[in-house]
Amino acid sequence: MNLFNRSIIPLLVVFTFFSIFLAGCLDAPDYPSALQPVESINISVQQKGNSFSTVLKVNPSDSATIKANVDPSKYQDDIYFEWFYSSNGKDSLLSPGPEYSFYPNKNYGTIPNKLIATDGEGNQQTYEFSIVVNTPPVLADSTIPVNGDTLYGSETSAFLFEWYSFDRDFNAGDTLFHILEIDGTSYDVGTLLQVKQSGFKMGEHKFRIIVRDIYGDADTLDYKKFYVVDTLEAK
Amino acid sequence: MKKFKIFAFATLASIFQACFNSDDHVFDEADTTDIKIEATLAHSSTDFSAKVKADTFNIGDTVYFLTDISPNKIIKVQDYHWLMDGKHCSSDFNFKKRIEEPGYHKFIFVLKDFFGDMHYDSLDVWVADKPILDDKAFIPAEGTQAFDPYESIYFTWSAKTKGINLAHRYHFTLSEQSYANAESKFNDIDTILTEPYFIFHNKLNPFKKYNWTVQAINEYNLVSDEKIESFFFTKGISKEGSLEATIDIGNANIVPVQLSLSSDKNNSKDFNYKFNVSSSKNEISLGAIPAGSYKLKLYSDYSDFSIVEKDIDIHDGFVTLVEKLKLIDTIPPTITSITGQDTISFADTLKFVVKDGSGQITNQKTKVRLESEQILEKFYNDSILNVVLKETDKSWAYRILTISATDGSQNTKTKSFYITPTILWFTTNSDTTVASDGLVYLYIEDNNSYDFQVETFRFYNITRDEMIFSIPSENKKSIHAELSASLFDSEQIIESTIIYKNGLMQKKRWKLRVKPATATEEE
Repeated sequence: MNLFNRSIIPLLVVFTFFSIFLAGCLDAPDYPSALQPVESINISVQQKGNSFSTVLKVNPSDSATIKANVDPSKYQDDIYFEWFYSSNGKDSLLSPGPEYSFYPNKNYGTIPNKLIATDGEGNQQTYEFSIVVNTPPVLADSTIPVNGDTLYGSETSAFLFEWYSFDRDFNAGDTLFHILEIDGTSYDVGTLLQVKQSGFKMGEHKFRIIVRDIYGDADTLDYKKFYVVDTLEAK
Repeated sequence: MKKFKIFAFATLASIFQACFNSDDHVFDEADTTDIKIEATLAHSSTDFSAKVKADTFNIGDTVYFLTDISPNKIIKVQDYHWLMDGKHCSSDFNFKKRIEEPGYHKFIFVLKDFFGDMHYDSLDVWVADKPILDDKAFIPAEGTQAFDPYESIYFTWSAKTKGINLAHRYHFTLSEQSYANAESKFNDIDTILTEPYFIFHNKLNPFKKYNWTVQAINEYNLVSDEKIESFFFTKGISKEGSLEATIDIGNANIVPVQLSLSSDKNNSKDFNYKFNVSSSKNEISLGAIPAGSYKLKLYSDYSDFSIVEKDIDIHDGFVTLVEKLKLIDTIPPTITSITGQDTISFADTLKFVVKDGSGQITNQKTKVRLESEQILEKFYNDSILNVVLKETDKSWAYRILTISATDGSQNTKTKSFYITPTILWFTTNSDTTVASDGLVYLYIEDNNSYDFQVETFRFYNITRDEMIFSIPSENKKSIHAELSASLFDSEQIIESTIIYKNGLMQKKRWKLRVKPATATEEE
């Protein structure tokens, strides 16, 4: 067989086909050289001059500021933020911008629970969160025994320890847990507000109460002293 | 040529046709075997009998992971491995692993068969340490006194499981102490709590001891090694206290006890109690007593037990605790023969006086042995132990009868008695009564059947502890003598003895009575 004796048209067809195929390969897009520049966005809250904290818990006694932080921070200004209060599938825009200040009263309609972040190309990311409005528990200074009390009995006498704690969120389901610390020994007394304990030698002793709610807010009293006089041994 | 091409084409076509015609290449479901995998876990490498799909382990426990493959493990597979919480952890069918991370772990066995089908089986493992219960810091502290029985009592404690945040529950019990002199009527509390505290609102009884216990259990059902075992006391009405004591009665089982409290100042404040104390119930509670100082006297109806006297103070609202009042019997029983002698004559029934100040001797607490043989035929009644001997117990030699008696406090007395030979090779006097102006006829006649040669004949006054006479036999087999009855007392024990030349000796004791001359009589 001699190719030169034939038409070159079939050869051109084959050549053209391979050329188109190779041209298709050359037209393939480059491998993306740049990854998504924003790695994460976190939400933090600040109150009473404290630093921002990602623990989204605020005290209703003072205004609070919530902030969206972009990581890396150099892209902070490239993202557009909107704070919403969302309820029953309905969003109410509270404020645009990376920060939003609000007064955390029980009117939850002013407290954001949704953030929409939008980049320059219109891509959006939605963050849903909740801010706990919690009043820290408070211990009354009045206790039994009072500071400087003298207790009469013996080492086996059951002496009453009583204290009073309050929490404005108590009706909202908050629970207060107490620790009674006597002479350096901690007794986890849970929700109790009084116990009777013995084992106190004659002389000076000290105690204090620590109260903590389920959100970790706590209050404590300064150490109080009491004195035990062993009346049985004296007899 | 063309025909040949047609033939060749037809041949090739038929060969290919044959390939497609074979039924051997048709899938038949009946010929297939399903691959089944089963993963299990076990606690021990030696006991795989208790293989389970889920279990709880302590931190550091070694867990054995096992697989069963059906039809077998030599089927063609592409891959198999284990995942722990989604991460690769082993490429063996069976392996063991110490798990140090507390919490819940999911183990999955993955098998990719020859055809690429994936097979899975999973196991659930919970790992945690036992909870640690603080058995030092709790409320109320051990021995707390003067709780008002009409007020609520608050109990608190704490427990945690190291390294993991687990919920805990608590086995709490509360019971009133049962005393030797007072049974408790309190309805015991035995409950499981989900919080580390308990408030008892119901009424308690005054001047009682209440025992309470707590043990922690975490949500993996691991139980704390520690257990709080504590107690407290209640108070009564004003100006009254109480006394609680434990009485050590040693090894005795049960002892009747009397206790008296005498006031130092006012005789009207005397209290007397009677009760039984046993080894298992040896705590007593005396109830409400006016506060003050008292002399305590504790004694038993049984004389062998010691008497305890002690000064005690009863404080207003408090229970005075007196530990281990020792009321112990250390005196063993006494054993004597009915004649008072340690050497006794053989009889069908021997009588012994066995006495004890604890009044707790029984037939079962006596043992009688005739040398190495235990005598079971014995009866104890009213301080007299009757020992029945058999005809075969008779002997030409002395026999040793040993009696032991044990009282209720396990004090044991053992005493041995000699039984004089019953089979005598000689004859001699029996118990005799003679007139004081008459003669006492003494004789010994040897009649041994062994041809033993007699060396000495002897008469001895046991009562006076003096020799009457001892005479060599001079090859004689008997001796006869007459002595004036005036030489003897009104009553004495005489011992007739025959001593053989081979060293053997036999004795017999008999009683000689000497009566005034007017009343001569021979028994």
